[in-house]
Amino acid sequence: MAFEYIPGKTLFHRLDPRTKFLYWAVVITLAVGLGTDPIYTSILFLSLLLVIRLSRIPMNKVAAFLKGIVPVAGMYALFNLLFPPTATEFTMPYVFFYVIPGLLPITLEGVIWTLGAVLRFLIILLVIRTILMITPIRDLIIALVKLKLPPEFGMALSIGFAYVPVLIDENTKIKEAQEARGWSYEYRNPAKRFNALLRQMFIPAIFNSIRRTGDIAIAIESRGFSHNVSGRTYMRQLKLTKEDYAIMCFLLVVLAGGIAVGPWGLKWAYYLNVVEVLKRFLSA
Amino acid sequence: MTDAVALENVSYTYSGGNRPALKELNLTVRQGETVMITGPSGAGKTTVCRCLNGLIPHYFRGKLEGNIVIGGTNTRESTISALSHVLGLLFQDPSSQLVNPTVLDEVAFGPENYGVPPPEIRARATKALEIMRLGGYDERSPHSLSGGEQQACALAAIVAMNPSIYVLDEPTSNLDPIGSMMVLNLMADLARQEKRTMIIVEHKMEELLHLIDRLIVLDRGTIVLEGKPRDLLENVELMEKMGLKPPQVALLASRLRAQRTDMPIPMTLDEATVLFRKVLPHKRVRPMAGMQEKAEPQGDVIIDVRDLWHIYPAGTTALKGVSLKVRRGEFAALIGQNGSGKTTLVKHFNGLLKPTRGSVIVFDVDTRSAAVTELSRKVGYCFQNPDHQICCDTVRKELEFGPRNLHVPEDEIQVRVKEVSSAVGLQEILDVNPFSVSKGERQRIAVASLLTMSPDVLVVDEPTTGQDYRMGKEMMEFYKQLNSLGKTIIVITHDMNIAAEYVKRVIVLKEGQILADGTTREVFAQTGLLETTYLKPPQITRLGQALKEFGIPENLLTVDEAARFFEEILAV
Repeated sequence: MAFEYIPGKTLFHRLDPRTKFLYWAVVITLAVGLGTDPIYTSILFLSLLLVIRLSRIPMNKVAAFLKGIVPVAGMYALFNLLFPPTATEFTMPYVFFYVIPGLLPITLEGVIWTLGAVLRFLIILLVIRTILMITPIRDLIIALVKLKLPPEFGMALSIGFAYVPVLIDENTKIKEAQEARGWSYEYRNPAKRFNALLRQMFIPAIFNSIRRTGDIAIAIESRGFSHNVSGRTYMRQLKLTKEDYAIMCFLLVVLAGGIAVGPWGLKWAYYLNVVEVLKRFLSA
Repeated sequence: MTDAVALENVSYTYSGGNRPALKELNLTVRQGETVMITGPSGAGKTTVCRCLNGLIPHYFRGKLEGNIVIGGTNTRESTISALSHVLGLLFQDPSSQLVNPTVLDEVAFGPENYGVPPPEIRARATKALEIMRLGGYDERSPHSLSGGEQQACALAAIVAMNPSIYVLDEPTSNLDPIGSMMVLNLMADLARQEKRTMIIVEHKMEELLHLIDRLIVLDRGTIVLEGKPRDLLENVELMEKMGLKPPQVALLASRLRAQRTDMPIPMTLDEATVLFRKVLPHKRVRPMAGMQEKAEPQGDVIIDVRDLWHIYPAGTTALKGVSLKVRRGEFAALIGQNGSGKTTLVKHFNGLLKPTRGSVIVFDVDTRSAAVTELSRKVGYCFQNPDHQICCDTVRKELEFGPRNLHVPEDEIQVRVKEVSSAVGLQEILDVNPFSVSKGERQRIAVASLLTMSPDVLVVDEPTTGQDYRMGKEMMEFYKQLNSLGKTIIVITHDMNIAAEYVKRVIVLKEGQILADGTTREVFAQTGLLETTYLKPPQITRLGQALKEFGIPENLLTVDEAARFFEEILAV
């Protein structure tokens, strides 16, 4: 399941969602800001794995998630390898070979860039997944409302997430009900296949969603949702604790440090540094 | 005392409706009164509920005449959310009113909307969940609960709002017999102890009549009977004719009035037991010749389930070693609580699910090696909700859909559509859009669209839900007729009276295993065993069992049967 929450009582579970939002922001900034230096992105990736480990999330869940994005990550890697975006700034690219003679070189720079880029790609996806695994969606929504998201949007988001399993279940039922009447969408011809799916799956699905929309409107109205939206209270209270403040301070220090060593600052974390070292090694 | 609810000359026609759903209805309910509203399908019960919390006229636009006054406020001058503060409405379909990610949030939702302080919300929510026996379900998704648990959760959400008036539209439609009794008793207690007004729309008179102050029978938008339940029971046969489901013991007593004109009409099983203990002439040592069984069906085995286990990918073990044989020409019912594995079992009959362990042989074919499309020629499976399959713009096309998938010749399809539509009573609406007809009709369309595929076996999941007792019986009569024409029929049902009256074999599932399997009489005679899975045999069967010492057989199935025995004894 895409939004599975794994209950637990670890430090990372306990943290206020707002602290987790900051964690997310810091990781994304560092991942993007540090560019594609494979050493520094590896450190970031390992720190993320450490958080997952300390949150007692079973590693097979992480593996299953990573497995699911292998095809996309593979495409991303291939694209980066063939077209490293900063090719023009290489003074003397170290070429391994050409994919097409004279064209599309596979370079050392490209390989190093790609390593970092793929790791960065995984970090950006995995950090969101991790936060969702250690935080119930509704806490995230309450935090968003506290951060001034209108409660109506919060409710809409919440209903959206609550209905994901319902929609999946309903699609299975529709498919089974049609199969029980001898229906099959396994046509060779893609046009026929599309037509079959459209008619026999989407029509009942659409009919049901239209009806459900009305039902939901009636249900929330009959329990007073629009009574006084701005005056509504929340049973679950969010409170920033000492732990939260400590972690937030730590995150800000890491952020500042990361920016300082990154390509905008001292350029210690810069993939071309790695390339230079390797070049010296290769030419020796 | 002020009236909690007053409907003054209310008429209402839905927009697009061609006849009024309510006609000059006058209805008042006093504060603290417990009222039951019943009536056949289409009587206007749900429309009354919608009037009470302002959905009519504020959400459903139609033609409303007359006045609706709730706690002194005319609903026209109020809003749905303001009215819901004093009047909590539980809707019929539990899953459609659960909108929050967890059970606890669901129950807290109402109080949150009215700005109740957070600690009090938590206290109310915890208490409401405890009352509905959902303690420990706090963090589950409401949509992952069984139908009965969802209904309990929706009710807990209303209780947490602490309204002074409760309106419950069929609060027990998804509950097993013992669960229904429990919920109705709880609500009656709440009304009595906290002086709440309670308006309950229900079909189940057996469980509810003794708990209410007043019974109101609606038909076609008007009140046809109204009064104290005991007085109204004098009209018990009229109620049955209207399609209602009065207590079986009351029907029996009324039948016996032909012989004993002074026979009082009992309201509950306990009353009936006391009454007949006095009336029946003397104890008999030797029981009367009991009801004889018909011979076992002799057809070939067409479905053979051998030590079937099914484990869903998520890890739930739904079936644990089920073995059973179905013979050609049988008429069987599968009963059991929600989650006992009934639907999982029948989905193996047409290959929608494949065994995790064990095997299922259908017409000598192992389902593991056969496609669903292939098996669907032999086994028709009708899903509970017709809206999961209707996909064509006319009823005719819907009926043609199955046979066309099986490449049946065109002229043959037309013959079948004609035959089936007249048998199921759809010939009038063949060219109508199936999305625009009533739910009962859609249910029949779903069955008809399987029958045109001409399967040998028909499996129907809950053939009578959403229909009143009379319509349910009409559907069952139809299956009975199909059965007499040689079709094998398997129904999943939670209506014990329907099972007792129609089927010849009952299979009881409990937690993925077969608890009992035998003729209907054998199974229903085992009251104690059925109670272990929250089922109860029909009231009339239990009456016979309570009067065993008078020689009444313990396996009576219908009121007609019982009447014959009692008449015979009384004639002595």
